[in-house]
Amino acid sequence: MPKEVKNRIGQYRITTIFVLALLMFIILIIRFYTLQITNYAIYRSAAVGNMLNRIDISAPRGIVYDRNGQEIIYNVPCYNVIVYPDLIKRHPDTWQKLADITGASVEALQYTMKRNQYGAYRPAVVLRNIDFKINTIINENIQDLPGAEIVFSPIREYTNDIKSGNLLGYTAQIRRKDMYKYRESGYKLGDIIGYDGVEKQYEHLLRGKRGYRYKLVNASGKPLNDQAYEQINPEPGNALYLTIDCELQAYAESLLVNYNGAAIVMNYENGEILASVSSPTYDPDMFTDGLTQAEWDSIVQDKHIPLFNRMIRGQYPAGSIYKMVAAIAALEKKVITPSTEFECTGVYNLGGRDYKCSHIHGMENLNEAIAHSCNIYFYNLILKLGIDDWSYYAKHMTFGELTGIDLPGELAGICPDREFMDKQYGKRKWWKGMWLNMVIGQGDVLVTPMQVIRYTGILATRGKIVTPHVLKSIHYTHDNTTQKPEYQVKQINEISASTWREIGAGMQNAVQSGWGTGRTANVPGLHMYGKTGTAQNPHGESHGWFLGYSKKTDFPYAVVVFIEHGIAGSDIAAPVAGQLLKAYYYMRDK
Amino acid sequence: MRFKDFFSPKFSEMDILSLILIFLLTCGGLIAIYSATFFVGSTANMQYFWKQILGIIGGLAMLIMLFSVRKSFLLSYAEILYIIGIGLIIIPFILSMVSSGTNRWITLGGFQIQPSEYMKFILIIMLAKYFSETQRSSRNPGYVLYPLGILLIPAALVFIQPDLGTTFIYVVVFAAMLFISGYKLYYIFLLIAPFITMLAAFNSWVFLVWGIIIAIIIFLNNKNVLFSALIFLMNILVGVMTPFFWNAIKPYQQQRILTMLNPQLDPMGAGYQVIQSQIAIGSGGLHGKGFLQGTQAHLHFLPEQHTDFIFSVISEEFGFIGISLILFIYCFLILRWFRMALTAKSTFSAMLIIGGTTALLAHIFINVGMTVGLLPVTGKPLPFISYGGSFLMTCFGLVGLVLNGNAE
Repeated sequence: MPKEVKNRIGQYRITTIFVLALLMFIILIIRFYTLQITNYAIYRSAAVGNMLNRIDISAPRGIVYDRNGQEIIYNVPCYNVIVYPDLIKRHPDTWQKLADITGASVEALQYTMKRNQYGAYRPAVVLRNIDFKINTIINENIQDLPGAEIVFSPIREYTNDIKSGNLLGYTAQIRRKDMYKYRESGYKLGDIIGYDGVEKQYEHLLRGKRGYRYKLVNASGKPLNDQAYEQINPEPGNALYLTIDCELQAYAESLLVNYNGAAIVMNYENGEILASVSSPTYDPDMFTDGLTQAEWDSIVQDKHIPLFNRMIRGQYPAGSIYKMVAAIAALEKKVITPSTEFECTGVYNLGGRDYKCSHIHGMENLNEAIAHSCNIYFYNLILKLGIDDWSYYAKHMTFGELTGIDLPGELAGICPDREFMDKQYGKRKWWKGMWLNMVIGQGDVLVTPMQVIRYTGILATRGKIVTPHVLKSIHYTHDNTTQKPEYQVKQINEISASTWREIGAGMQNAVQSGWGTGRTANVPGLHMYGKTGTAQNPHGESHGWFLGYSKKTDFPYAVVVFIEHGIAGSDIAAPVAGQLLKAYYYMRDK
Repeated sequence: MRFKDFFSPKFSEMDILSLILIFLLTCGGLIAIYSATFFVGSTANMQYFWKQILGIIGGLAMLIMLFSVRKSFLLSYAEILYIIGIGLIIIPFILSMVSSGTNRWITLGGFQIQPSEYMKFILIIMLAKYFSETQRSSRNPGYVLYPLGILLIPAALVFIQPDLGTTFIYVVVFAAMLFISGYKLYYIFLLIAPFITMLAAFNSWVFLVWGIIIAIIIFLNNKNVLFSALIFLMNILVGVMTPFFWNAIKPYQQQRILTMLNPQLDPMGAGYQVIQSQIAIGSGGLHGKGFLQGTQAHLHFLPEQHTDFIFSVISEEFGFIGISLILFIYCFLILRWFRMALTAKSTFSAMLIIGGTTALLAHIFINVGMTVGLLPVTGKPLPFISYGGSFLMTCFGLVGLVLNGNAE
């Protein structure tokens, strides 16, 4: 056998290997330190993210009440079928089974999933609001439907007493094209969001806070059991109390049902809107389940344009309701006195053109001119007054600016002044004849019904500018407190009491005298003041306006009624306005 | 010939501390295997646990056998063992030609034998024999050729199986033993240089710098200018040819080579595994999540968790404290064994110790480095802890060789 040789290996080479080995272990331990101590938090959350599948629980939206506590927007339970895109991809049979149970086609289900899908691992809704029977069948067969699940999700319902889609708005799934606006605020595709009206305006208060159910899943994404590993309950949205009186609103809707137009009743002391109708309106319930293309087309193509919110977006010529602006300006500027008279011969000639009046009124003073709504009186007046003083006071009446109503999409109308006219027609390219049109609320003057109700309030209160609003108070669900929002109130101080008295007297005669144009709006006992307006427009029959208010103590309500193509203000608008205040007077008494 | 000619059990000289520490490691391994094969929602699967205990018993037998075998016997029969070993590695190739199967295993009556594992012992014995006999001539550059041949035959066979990890272990063991044998560092450099040249050839600036470095080293170490120039030119030629060869092969072949060198390039495969492993380790934190509480392990996020990624399971459940303890035991053992090489009675014994210890160290570093994402995923298990009887027997056998070297 071979002999073993004595150990002669070099000590320094062993030491080198020894140090190298030690170095390896040091590298490893440093690496573990980095992973487990330095970056612990990152990996900890990654591990939690791995093992938990999060399912959203939608929060019920806040309930909306009218001023008397009647529920007008509320939630009803609804069950949706959702699918997990990654799971159902591995179990394509589920599609056919779902289709058989629900009666929908596979293609339709898959199309809906694609529309609502965001990511392969997040569930997407394929069917909304399934009925009880389908719910039961799916629940019984859930084991055979891998990748599908039923989730509870409350949906919105609107009282049947009123339609008023323009006021309340509606809810629908966020449209894909709108997602970019909402993603930052935590919305996801498939979420319900408020569109239009109160639902949109107070979305942030109504939406509530999403809850989550966490399920333990294994690496293939399969839940280990049905129990929730952890559940964070959703926080319901806050309850809103509107200033709207549901009964009055319903009555206003019924009065306007045959017309296109708007009607608003407001408390002129504080700006609370009691009723606000844009006619025709639409039923917000329609949108809740999602519209079919045909339904959507029929709404959009309706020639009465129900989606158009006439209260705040309809910009119309004001007609004679604008005459008080000129009257106030002339009295304040001492261009006239209350007894100054002009003769009305039915026609007024300026620069070779005829400007007409509705009747031949003869000699009229201011009071009679307002009550009779005599155009020629105001033609004379504006020529003496000049456009600058007139537009100065028109702006005092807050025309041309937003009222600040808490509804989305308000427009500001046009309050023409010298600057505007120069811009519109070019310097010195417009003539005095245009003044004559503008003083009677025609020409370039455009107002919205909401502006007119505030103007009415200013006239009724002798200069108090309130902010019209529909939200009375918020009831916060998380701490059960109630908050009343503050609304801005301003006061016009530079108009003298005598001026206000003269204007008031004219408006009183217009309604209460028996010979005024607004006499059809009179409600005995309510001390009604008012003014009619008949706004000519190139598209057909004139628009009818009426603004009015009650001076009865403890009944501080103003009303505006606007009827598109309603002939004269005295024909339809004035009687509707009278009926509204009268009805509310008795409702309130009850 | 009698039994005594082959074996001489000398238990009094066995290093008991090594055995105790290895026993601790295997116990830790059993706990980890129990945890790694225990899944939420299913009953505990004790099958792996009991099989591992069988593997430990087999390993102990292997340890005792390689501890007891006489060194004189090993020196006499090294070549015969080597030829048998090579033969066994070739057998699966022939079998897989007949029936479809893997190139790695021989199945014998229900047991699977992986010849490349046993080749580790044989390679160590063969190299130890050569390096202990011819140590005097280690200043001769040709000294390396014979052991290089001993290495290359099994290494090439294992490489085409393909088993890159085991090939790497062979090479590392060879390199360590060559280094210890006193072979000139300059010659070792000449051996390694062409491989570095090949890698450097992919970037012209790196290639230029590398070329200057080898030029300096070669001409400083060699008096014979003509010979130096020849070596240098050969290196440059390798470098110039590499991109040419690389571009000549098809893209999918390039891809295959790259994936073999670094499996993390495949994000859905090994890349995913490493990410999940790191999450498991990192989320263990200081104390760990507790026994059977590891979510990554028990919800199937970890791949191969009872074999290759067992260390991730331990990291997740026992945290930095548990990991430090195990790494400390490993480190203590490895360093203790390397020190034994100094006090060994003969060069052959020292070489056995160096070979066995290096093999174990390489396994530990490759496996742990893989679980923490420092090294590519090569699918090598962790000594004494990972599940697998065959591999346990290899590791225990290597310890047997080391302790054998230390005895007498």
